[in-house]
Amino acid sequence: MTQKCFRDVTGFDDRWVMIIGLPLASMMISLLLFNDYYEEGNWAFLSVCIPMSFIYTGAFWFVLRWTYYKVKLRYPLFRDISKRVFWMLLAFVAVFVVVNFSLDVLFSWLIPEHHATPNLAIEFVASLIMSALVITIYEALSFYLQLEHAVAEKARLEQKNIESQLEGLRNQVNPHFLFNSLNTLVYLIPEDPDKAVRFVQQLSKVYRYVLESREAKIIPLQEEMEFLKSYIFLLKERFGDNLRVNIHDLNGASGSAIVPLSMQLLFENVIKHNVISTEKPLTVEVYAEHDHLVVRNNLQRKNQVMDSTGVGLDNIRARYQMMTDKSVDVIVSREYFTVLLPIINVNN
Amino acid sequence: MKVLLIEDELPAAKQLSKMLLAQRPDFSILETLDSVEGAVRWLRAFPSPDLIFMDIQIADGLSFDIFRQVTVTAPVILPRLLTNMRCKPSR
Repeated sequence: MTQKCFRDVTGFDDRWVMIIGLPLASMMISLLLFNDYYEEGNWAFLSVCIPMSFIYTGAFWFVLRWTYYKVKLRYPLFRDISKRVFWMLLAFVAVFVVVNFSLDVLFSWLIPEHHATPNLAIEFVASLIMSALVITIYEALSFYLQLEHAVAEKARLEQKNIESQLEGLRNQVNPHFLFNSLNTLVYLIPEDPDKAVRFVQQLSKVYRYVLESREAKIIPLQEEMEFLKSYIFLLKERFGDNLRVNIHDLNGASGSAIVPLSMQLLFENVIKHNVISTEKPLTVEVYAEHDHLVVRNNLQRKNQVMDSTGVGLDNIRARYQMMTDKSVDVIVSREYFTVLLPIINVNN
Repeated sequence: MKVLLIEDELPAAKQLSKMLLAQRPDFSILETLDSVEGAVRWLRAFPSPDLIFMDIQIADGLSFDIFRQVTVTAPVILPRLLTNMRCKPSR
């Protein structure tokens, strides 16, 4: 796993916060801690103290910043704020002790005469306030940016939802499917009236399913497969032996569900993009594998695709994205085109 | 009269040949082909038919592609001309 940078974990880039904040904070610290020297106008001391404050503030800032990064990595959610604050306070105390000790040593070495190190209590309170301020700023920035991100994501998903609902509606009255079916029917009626009747029955089954599943976000696998049988009957009538469909036993456990009409879309896609002829028959395999529904066909792309909107697979992906974390996978090899649809388990 | 059918929809082909033979029993349907590939192969292998009935949109593309690959001397009838066909040809 690649190392996540600060921005990835916290949601913001704190460069400018530091560039502006660090000098500001260190100046304030030096004012608070070395107030007397300022009043005295003791510039000799101040020339040492001011850099010291800078180092002091910097030490706190960098350690706390590093701690924040680690803690945010471990507890990224907003509601874990108490855990983060706990660790930050712990880190603060640790830094305070270490920095104080080191600076004391340094001070006494640099300025041995002046044993007047700043009042420890003032130091503690001042450092605590400054650190708390910085931590608050960081938390606030992170929270705000996370919120902004969440709002944008919500808007995007809502848009996707509307688009796919629209697409779903379009699919129901997809003129091409109806057109092709009626075309087939018109030749069937004088040829084989009995078959024509069966054809119409299957066609109406298909449209009944389309109407019934319109509202549903997911549908039991069994129902979609029942629909698929009718749909394939119609296709077979149109293509004859040039289209072969093998539906393997899915041993669908109860509670298995998929997005309605996803099978229909996949088949429509396959037919639209592939050559189906006596020279080149098309075989479609449908089987279940590792809680995915697999639809695989031998790839024989058409050169010119009639009326392709290119939206089919995207539509399916979007609808699945709303229902599950598992993704729709498409595998294209030289020989096969395979789509893996996640099977949603409603028992979870 | 030897007739060749180039049509990818099975029921359409069946009905066309039925109608044709009903009207002209002396005609013989040599073959029904459903793709450009199949038609080109057939036309290269066999002597030209007397008449060809051809659909434009067939299994693997537009039937006009047949003429790019093989010389056709027989007259061609397009029984079904669909208006409003939208397709993106591969230039």
